[in-house]
Amino acid sequence: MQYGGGLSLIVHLAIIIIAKIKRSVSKILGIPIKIRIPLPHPIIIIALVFFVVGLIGYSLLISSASEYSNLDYISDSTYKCDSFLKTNGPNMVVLRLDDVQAYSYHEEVFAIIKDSFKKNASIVAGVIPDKLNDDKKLISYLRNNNCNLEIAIHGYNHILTGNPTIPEFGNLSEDEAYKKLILGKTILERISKQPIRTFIPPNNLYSAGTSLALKKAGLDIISSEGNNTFDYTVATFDHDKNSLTPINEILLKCQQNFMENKPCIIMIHPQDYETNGKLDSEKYLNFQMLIDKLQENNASFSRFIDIADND
Amino acid sequence: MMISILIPCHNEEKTIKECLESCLFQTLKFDEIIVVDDGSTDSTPSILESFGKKITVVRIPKKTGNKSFAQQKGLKFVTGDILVMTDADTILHCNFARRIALDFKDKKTVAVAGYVKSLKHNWLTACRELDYVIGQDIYKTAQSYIDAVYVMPGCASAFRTKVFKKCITFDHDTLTEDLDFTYKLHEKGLKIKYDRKAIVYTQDPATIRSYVTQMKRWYSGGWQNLSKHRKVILEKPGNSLELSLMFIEGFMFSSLMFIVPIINITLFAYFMMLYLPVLFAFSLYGTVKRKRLDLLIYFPAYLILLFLDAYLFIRTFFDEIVFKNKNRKWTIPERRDILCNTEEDFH
Repeated sequence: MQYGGGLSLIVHLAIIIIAKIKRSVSKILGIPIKIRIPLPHPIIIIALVFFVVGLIGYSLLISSASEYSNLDYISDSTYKCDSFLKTNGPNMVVLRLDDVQAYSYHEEVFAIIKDSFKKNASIVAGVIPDKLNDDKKLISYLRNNNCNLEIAIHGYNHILTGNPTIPEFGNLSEDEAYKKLILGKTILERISKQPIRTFIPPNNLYSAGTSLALKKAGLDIISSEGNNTFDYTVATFDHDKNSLTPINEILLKCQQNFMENKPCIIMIHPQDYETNGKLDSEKYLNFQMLIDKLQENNASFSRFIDIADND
Repeated sequence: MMISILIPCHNEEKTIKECLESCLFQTLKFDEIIVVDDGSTDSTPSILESFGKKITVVRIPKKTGNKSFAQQKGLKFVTGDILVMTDADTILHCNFARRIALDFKDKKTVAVAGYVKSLKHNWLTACRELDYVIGQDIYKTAQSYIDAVYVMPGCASAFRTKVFKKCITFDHDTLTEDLDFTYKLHEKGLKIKYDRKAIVYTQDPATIRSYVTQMKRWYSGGWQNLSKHRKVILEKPGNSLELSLMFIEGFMFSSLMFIVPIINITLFAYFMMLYLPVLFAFSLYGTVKRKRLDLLIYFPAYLILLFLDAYLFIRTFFDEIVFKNKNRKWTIPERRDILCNTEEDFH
């Protein structure tokens, strides 16, 4: 303290190094070189010190407050959520929220989870494990809401590779897939403090090798594309029309499943409700209305893990 | 060139003998050793008497209460060209006077700041020694390259007597007269030389209570002098750099030491983990350089003192600058016997 902080140390070490270099050069060349270090005008120095010190202090305070702070820690350790899960009954609906990932779509993800919970609707979050350990806000949020939220592994990094592009698990061997799955599963289990059993393949595609690896990794529930029990029934965004799927269309498809005594799996992406990196309230209204309509149609919201256990 | 040494003392029976012996056993003799006995009530007067005519004793019957008053009294008796100032709890290296004489061969040199080492005692003195290593081997060395030595240590400084008598007066208005002298020299644009080979060994606080008292005095004195000599900040770029880093960064660093753990203890722990290897490197350097293993053993305790220092730095800022409650209280530090096992170091 007597000597300032890290900046002072760096500045003083730099001065010594410059002076030593000057002295060495002077010795080698045999020419006397002035060892004194020239400095700019005092006002410039003071302004610079103020600016740098201020910047360091400001960034430190900002990062202290925004990264997993003491308040987050306290709320994490004291939070208890009430379960409103329904594990059986008619008209089962699973809201499958894909692409939950570190540092992206937080506003949309948090809004979807919060509003669903407000309406007593549980959610399955398809989480991308890559870089998740660094995003303390998301970790805290997922952990705090774990009793009505199922966390599913949604690939490892969800990156398309090759030309033409192949989804992350589209062409993997058993070994390659296993390594990714077990790593991702470990990360998710550590942060969620619950066993991970569900795999949502990125782009709803996965290789035969991945199928074998899933069993080995203990992921016994797969929600992909097709007609299997947990495959998605309908998506909230219609990529062919490049617009949100009309609510009536979603309800109709759900009704068809209900009639066959199958759950209706609704695939949601947070990016469907954003515009220019912000939550688009107009688009988001569509999601809120969808939940309301589903409730009007006597839907019972559940999670994959509960349906599977009940079966 | 005549060299005089001035030593103020008050109740220094535990250390004055060793101090004076170190002044007498110099490879280049001091021409004049002046001891100002500031109303001692212990056996200090009889110890001084035992040195006979080897020293000049100036007696002040009633305690003045401040080191600078005693120094002022003693200054009247100084006849040498060079005035060395030290403390009664300090031991000079046998080459100290020779180094000073050498430094003043440069006509431009008006003052010399010596190099202080802390006498080994316990964990607190080990931490102080580590502080001296960082402060003198890095900070003061760099300051000397930009002509901005922040402080001439009160126990190891030397001046041209004429310049001192003419330009540096005892104002008795701050708690750190050595810092006041240094600022005055900077104000007049006079050259201060930092000599790392002009070594002294001093006693530093060995209890938390005396440590706090000393740090409070140093920090209060620091703020008092900054406020008194504020013009000097804008006069020389070296001083601007030193003072702004010391006080602006020091203040921010001290504040964050308390704010960050309140907001985010994890982040603070990360910073401390980053700081620890740096501190370890310094303590390793100090251990090798000083041949003192205690610097390495006790370096984690330095972190605790860092908090204490930060608190005192902020508190004295509020006392001195914000609330203008000027601290004038001079406290006499605790003294302990100087152990002979370090004697080989002095020679």
